Amino acid sequence: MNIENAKSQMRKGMLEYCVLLLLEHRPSYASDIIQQLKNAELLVVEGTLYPLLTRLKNDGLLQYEWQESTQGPPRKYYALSKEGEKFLEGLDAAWTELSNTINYLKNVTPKLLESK
Amino acid sequence: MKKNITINLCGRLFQIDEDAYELLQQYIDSLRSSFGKQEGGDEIVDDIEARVAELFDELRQQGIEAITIEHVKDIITRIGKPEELTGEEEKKSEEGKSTNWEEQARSAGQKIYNNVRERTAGKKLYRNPKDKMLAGVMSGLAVYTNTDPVIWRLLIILFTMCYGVGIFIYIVLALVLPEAKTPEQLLQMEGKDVTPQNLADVVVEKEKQPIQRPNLVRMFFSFLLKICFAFFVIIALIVCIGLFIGFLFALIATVSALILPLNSTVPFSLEAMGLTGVWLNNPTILGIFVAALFLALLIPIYGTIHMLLSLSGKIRPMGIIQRIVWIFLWVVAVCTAAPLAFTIADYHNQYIFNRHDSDWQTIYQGTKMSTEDADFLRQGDWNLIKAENCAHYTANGEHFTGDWDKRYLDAWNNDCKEVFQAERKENVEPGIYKLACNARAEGPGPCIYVVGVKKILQQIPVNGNEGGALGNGWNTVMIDSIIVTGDSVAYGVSTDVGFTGKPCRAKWFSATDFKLSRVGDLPKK
Repeated sequence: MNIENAKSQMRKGMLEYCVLLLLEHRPSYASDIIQQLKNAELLVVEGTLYPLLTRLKNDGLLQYEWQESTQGPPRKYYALSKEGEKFLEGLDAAWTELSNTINYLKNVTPKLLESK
Repeated sequence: MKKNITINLCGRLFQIDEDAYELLQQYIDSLRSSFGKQEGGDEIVDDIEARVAELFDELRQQGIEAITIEHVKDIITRIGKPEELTGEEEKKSEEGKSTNWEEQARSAGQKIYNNVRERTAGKKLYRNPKDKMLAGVMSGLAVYTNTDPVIWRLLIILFTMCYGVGIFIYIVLALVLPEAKTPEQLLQMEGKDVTPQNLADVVVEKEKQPIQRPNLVRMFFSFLLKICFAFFVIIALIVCIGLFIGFLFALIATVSALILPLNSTVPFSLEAMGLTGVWLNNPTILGIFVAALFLALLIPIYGTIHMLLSLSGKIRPMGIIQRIVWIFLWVVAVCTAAPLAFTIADYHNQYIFNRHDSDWQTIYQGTKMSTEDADFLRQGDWNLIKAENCAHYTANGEHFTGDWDKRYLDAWNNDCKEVFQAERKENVEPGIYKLACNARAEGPGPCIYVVGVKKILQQIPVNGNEGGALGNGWNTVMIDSIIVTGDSVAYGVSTDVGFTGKPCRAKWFSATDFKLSRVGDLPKK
């Protein structure tokens, strides 16, 4: 297993959570989200986002509305639904737990090795 | 220099090179076919299309006026290939699922299945336009089986040496197999995945197709091909016209038969065609026959027109399944129509004979018949003992000598219902006799007989109207050792089950040249 593969697996698992995080405070349209995810180096190919958005929308976590744009055709602005907010809270809790676990493991392992 | 076209993407106009457009079209199409299965698939593709428009817009803002194939390639790498986009979603759900060993075993099985499928069914059988002598059938087979086309070409030449079977096989394959024309089909033919990258390669390759070096063999074959093709088109057109004329006749006949009253005798009426009998007795046969006939005539017409149009590029050629279905339907139609045609012809002939009954005003021993029948029976001293359901009593035209005017006893009923018995009495001295005659029958039942001291029957050999010892189905039938003690003997021919004890299963029989000859004296007591 090479490192790139492992990294991309991790990113993929995170993608859903990150998209929800991005949309928590302000509605955005797809290209915005893509830009931000790219800045965060979370996205390899842009197209991955579209099936994800559609799936989240179909699951009722997201909703969108059309907004006129100054340049080009109208855009779909995505925002969290009530359900999505709850879902995000759940993910937040899970993330905190997970990061605690990781931190704990990172700190504790050397000690364990020392004690041996 | 490249041809440039304007496209409308999400309500915005863009200048784009033709090859770039083709690639983009292939990309969007392959996205649609891979997302098509899942929920909201169209919406996803629409969104991606909007994204492409946005990226085009960015390019324009950078001052790029015409979008080239390189730009499209970049955009495709940026957005991702269909399998990258769908694959990730699937993989995710798969990973979530495979929690127990059962699932893992299943997914392992799936992997093996996929592997096998990839090797065997990854390709589709097409005619190969890239390497062809005639129509690209053999090289298509070669690509499909991953072998050298030369092997296949040699094979078909070998087959052609066997009574030209190869030519037939080749023509059938050339008709049934579609040619790989679109980039997508070319990829499928070679078993490559339909990905934007591969499609781009095909499009580019098409663009700068190498000029084929003039090759004498190839030139000869392509010349041959052109001649064959022209010949084929001409033959197809002639056949098509012939079939169409046939179809017109059939149509006129059907319509007039349905419209005209039964007693009408204008051309194409049932009566004029001699089909009133079938229509009254067995309309189902006639109906099925007409339907099958129309199919048998129209399918080749439709097929030929479709093919000529698709060869000239006006319409898309038929898919392989469509072709097989049409050919199958046609074979069924022909196999239905052909035997029914014979049945109907029999009915027709019988009806034509029967129709003259009313004109036949001669009465011989109480039975109405034609003058010819009556004359023959009278001259032969024949007593007509039974004469029911017979279309006629004598006939001419198929005598084994070939003499058209030679008459013979003959009775006919298409349903084997003729009951016929003709008998002749001869005054003779007591003694031993033998009887010889020439006869034929369409089926078992009809018998030659003699009534001397006792009744002797001899069934007529069943040859129909072909073969036999004499030809035209005729054989010499003999009855030996006839003991005559009185002063007369009676002999003749009969289909009457009450007399012969054998049910008549013959539509007709013929008999003639009865000859009774004396063999010797009765043994002295």
